[in-house]
Formats: sequence, structure tokens, C-alpha cells
Amino acid sequence: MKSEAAFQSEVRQWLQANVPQEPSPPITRDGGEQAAYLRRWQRTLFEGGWAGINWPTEYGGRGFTQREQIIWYEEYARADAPDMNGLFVGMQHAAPTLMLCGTEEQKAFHLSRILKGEAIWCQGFSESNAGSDLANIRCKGTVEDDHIVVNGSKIWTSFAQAADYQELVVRTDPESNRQQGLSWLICDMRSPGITVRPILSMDGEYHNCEVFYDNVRIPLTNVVGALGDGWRVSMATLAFERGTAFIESQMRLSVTGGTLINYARHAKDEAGRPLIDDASVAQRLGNLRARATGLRSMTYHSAARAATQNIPGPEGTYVALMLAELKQEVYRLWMELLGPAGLEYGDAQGLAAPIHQYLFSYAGTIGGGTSEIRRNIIAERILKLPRHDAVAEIVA
Amino acid sequence: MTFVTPTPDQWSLCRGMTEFLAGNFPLSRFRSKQISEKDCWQDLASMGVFGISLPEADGGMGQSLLDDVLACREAGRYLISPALVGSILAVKIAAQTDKITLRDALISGLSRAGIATTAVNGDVQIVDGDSDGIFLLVQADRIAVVNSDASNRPTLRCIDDAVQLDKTEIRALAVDWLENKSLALAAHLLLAAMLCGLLETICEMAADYARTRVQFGRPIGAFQAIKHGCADIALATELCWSQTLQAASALQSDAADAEFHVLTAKLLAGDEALKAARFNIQVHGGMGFTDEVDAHRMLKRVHVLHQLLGDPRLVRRRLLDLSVEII
Repeated sequence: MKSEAAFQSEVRQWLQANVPQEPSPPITRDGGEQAAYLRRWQRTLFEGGWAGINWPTEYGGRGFTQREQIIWYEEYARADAPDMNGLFVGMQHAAPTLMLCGTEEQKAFHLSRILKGEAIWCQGFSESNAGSDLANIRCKGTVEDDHIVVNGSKIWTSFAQAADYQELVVRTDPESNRQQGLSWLICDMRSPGITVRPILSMDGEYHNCEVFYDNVRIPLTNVVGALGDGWRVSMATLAFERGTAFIESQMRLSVTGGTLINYARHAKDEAGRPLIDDASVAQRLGNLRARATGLRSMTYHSAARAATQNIPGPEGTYVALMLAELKQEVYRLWMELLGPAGLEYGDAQGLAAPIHQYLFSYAGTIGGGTSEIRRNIIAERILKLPRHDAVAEIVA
Repeated sequence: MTFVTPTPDQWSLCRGMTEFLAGNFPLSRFRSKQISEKDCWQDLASMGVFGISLPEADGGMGQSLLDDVLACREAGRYLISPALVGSILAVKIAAQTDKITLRDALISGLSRAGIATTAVNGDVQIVDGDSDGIFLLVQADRIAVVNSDASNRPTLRCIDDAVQLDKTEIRALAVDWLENKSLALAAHLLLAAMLCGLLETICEMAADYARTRVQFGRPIGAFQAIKHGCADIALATELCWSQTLQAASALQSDAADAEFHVLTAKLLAGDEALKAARFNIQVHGGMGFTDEVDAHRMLKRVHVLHQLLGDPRLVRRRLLDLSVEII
């Protein structure tokens, strides 16, 4: 086996030579430019042999150890390589779910397309009345011969405007409620009857969409896991999201924290003193640095544990919760240090990037489970406190 | 990047220690006032805790720094005196400087070494320095066991009445400094480990009460205001323990960023334990404010551990000054 240092320098050299110079384009209404950018980058990764670093080799991945993955992501963040947000669902959600619960045909068709950047995936879990309360899914799937006919809508679907496939969870048993009677489907986003409405986000990009289904026919062979077993399949999907899939953004936050400290060293206040000489600024930066370091250690710790289990446990929720909140804290302080300059949003690139990231950071404590839901999960699954909906039941 | 986690063997040693502490130093000792920790110091010594990572040739158990960390974490759960850290380090220093009598007295628990805060205006405060006047002093990269005359030092009233506090002018002491950054950092690390153990206890105590205390017809842990505070303590416990393991890994392998990770571990654990201890009092409501429930003891012990060896205000500044690679 190659030494760690040799591996690190190989990764660093490759990234230096291959990370695109041009910044990632904004996510527009049609998402076209961003999608093309991501496909190109994923293809570059694939051709360089760096796609699917955490995928098993039998599926064309690199099957890196946790340590190698961490080194990869450290270097990735250091090189300021493209944000993989738009590819996240395919690479870290759909693919692991297919590997775990999919049929051989499903795996054979989809996995290599995801890996090569040929297929972009989006998620189809949340509905307007099933966000935090995911089990309240209403979107209906009716089995007709060898198809499922889907009617209803989904919302908060990231990048649906450009996606090729969707992991779609619908209620296939009309008599069921809550966790029962759901099914996890592979939905071709070009199927007749699908309408996508992009939603403008507070940072000026179209991060999310609403998706409407009007008699959309999906072959039964696109069910992943068994019909009616969608909840279990979805939980496996989400467990991946809460586990090691956050290493990339985790490493990026460390870099951001360091950049902010450098900014405070060089930017001057009205009297010409570096901002960092202000004791309150220094205390808060010191605090952030300690917390960001601790978070990274928690990621390493969690990765070390995940290595011994197939599906990460609820501890991954710790990382997800803290990551989202700490990111907001970092950008809040950044806005404060920018002072009046924080009003000049500009083109969201270069100097204005922290302003853009500041606005975008509001999504972190909402998307993929609000901070409140994450705290419920920690309290109920790890500390075994009574369920929160016990209150609602008694009141009702 | 190295990240060492305890092996199954290390964990099982650790469980032995927990059983021993639960039997001999239960938290109820504070209320019954039947057990004086100082009088039982030799019982602790019988577990070999003062020489865990000392080479066998020096009378120790020849284990690793991580084993010290695990032991201190367990001791932290039971609010064992920070003189444990003072004594573990004092044993190492005594061994390195060939003070065999002192070394053996400390290992056997006949003597114990207190531990000091950083000097302010030339004074240091000493926690659990006994009448024989032995205590650990750490200043940046150097460390010393001070063997002073404590007979005429007045005992001060400490915020935490389970420990003894006194104060002395640093000038009046003959300090035989040992330049040894690793040992100085190990002292910080072991205090961080004690805080991690304390966090575990606080977390269990708050969650236990939230599960069992019933108001408005349901356990108060069903209310999100309580539940979310408990979740934050659980997160803090995992966060601080992870950072402490990271710091132990860095220090054990003599990594360039060892100081950064160790100071971060100590600062984080102190800050987070303080928040957790505050919330634990709040969860207990009126009883949390009384002397009859241990919540206040945990808060007070956190204050003591947080201040030992380094004022957190200065540590935060130091973290910015330490140049580490961004990643």
C-alpha cells in the first residue's frame, strides 16, 4: 500500500492540474449551465480515476478507506474544487441506496451513469405537508398492471430543473398511513405528466423546485426494495446522508474558518487597526476555531466508527446538526466584520462570495431535516427521551 | 492525520476503573460526607492510576498516554479531585528527575500533588495541594513539581467546597522548571479528559431527570425546550470526547499540531461543560438550585477545571496565534 504522504501528494497534484479555473455558474431557472459544469467535472473525475472514492470497487468506485477519503476531501477543499451539491443526491443518496436495496438490473443501468456524470439525480421525499413530518407523505402511486401511476406533488426538490432521475417516495397503499404503504421509485424526470416549477431562493438562485405529477407512469421494475417497503429504504438513504457524506462540506468549513481569520488579520477598522486586534473579535474567532476543529475531530471519530458498520448510526446527526449551525455562525461573524461592505452583494463571486454564502447558509438548518428535528432525533434515539409527538397526541 | 480510538482491551480496563469508582467513590459521598476523598487516595493508588503510562522500570504500568486519558475521563465522571492529574504528571516529573522517594510516595498515594492555575499578578491558586505542599505548576512549555512549605498558607473558601484552595506568591517558591512541552501539554490533555467524563455524568443526569420527572401529565423530556437542551449536551459530549481523542493522538505521535489540538480540547471541554452544567441545573428546576441535588457540584467543578492551567480567555487568543495549516 502506498504511504499516506505519497497518496496525499498524488491527490494534491491531480487536483492542482484539473480543478477548473472558472467558478461554478449560479443555479438559474433552467439550471443548464450549472448542470453542464457539474457533468464536465464529474467526467473529469471519472477519467482521472477519482470518481466514487467511497464506492465499492465492484461498482466502479475506488473503495478508498475512510482515511483515504478524508485525505481526498481535505485536499479537495484546500484546492477549492467544485462544490458537489448538484451531484450529491446521485452520488451519496441514490447510488448507495441502489447498492443496498436495488436489483441487479437497476444497479447495472444506473450506477455507472451516475459515476460518469451522465445522470444527475434529485430527491423526491418532501411534500408541502410532509417536510419535517416525512411520514405524512400523500403523493399517490396506483398499481396498474406493470406500472405505477403517480399523482400528486413534491417540493424542496433540489435541482429538479436539470435532473435526469429522481428518487421518488409515494404512497402505493391507499389504505395505509404514516410509515406503512410507501414505495421508493426510480422516476425518469422526462416522463410525460411531470411539471417542474423552479423556486427562487433568498440568495437569488433557484435551489429548489416544486414537482407535479399528473398520471406519470413508472414501470414496476423501477421499485427499489419491495413495494410498500419505501420507508425502510428511505431511512437507509437518509442514514447515509447523516453519516460520512458530509465530509466534503465539513472540510470546506475548516478552510472557510481559516479564511475568515486571515481576513480579520488583514482588514482594518476605522482607526486603521487590524480587526483581529479587537479583543471581542479575537475571542469569537478563537471560539469558532476551537469549535470548527472539534467538529472536524468529531467527523474523524464518526468516520472511524462508520468504518465498522454498514449503515452509519444516529451519531451522524451530531455532525449534520453542528455543521449547519457552525456554518451560519461563521458567516454571521463574517458579515459583522464586513460592516457596511456587507451591503454590496454584487455578482456573488469574488469578494461578495461570503455574502452569498451567508444567505445560502440559512438553508443548512432547514434542508435535509431542520435543526429542531435533528435535536429530536438525538434526544429520542440516543438519549431515549419520550417522543415529542406524545404531546400532540395528548392535546388532541 | 492520525486518529487513535481506544482498543477493546483499553475499554475493558476502563470498565474496571468505572466499577471501582462507582463502588468506592459514588457521587453520594458528597452528601453523606462519609468518604473523604483524600483519605481514600491510597485506594485510588491501588488501581495503579498514578503510574499508568509510567515505564514499568520506574514502577509504572507501561501503558500509553491514551490509557491515562481514559482513566482521567472515568475519574471525571465521579468528580475525583484534579489532584489526580497533578499526581499523574508529578510522578512522571519525579521519575525523570530521579526523585525516587517523591515518585514512590505519589505512586502509592501516600502523597498527592495539587495543581495550580496560571499566575495572575504574581499569585497562583493551588487546588488540593495538601499540607505537605506538593503541587504541579505549568507555564507555557515548562512544568514543575513544587515542593513548598504550605503550613502558613491560609486556606481560601473555594467555589467548589469539595476541593481545597490556597494561594501563594510565585516569587516565594523555589521552582525547579523542567522544559518539556509534551508533559506540559499532557497536563492540559488530562484535564480535558476529566471534563469529558464530567460531561458524560451531566448528560446522563439531565436525561435521566427529563425521562422521569412528570409535569402536566407527561415526562418533561417530551417538551422540546427540555429535549433540545439535552440533545445539545449529548452533542457537546461527543464533540469534546472526539477532540480529546484527536489531541491524544496528536500528542502521542508528537505531531506538529499537538499544542493546537490539546489546547482546543481543553478549551472546548471547559466551555461546553459549563453550558451543559448550567442547563442541567435548569432541567432540575427548583431542586437544581438546592444543595440536595448534585447539579451544582458539577457546575462548580467545571469552573475549577476550566480555570486550571490556563485562563480560557488567554487560550482562545493563543489558538489564533498558533499557526496551523488551515486543514
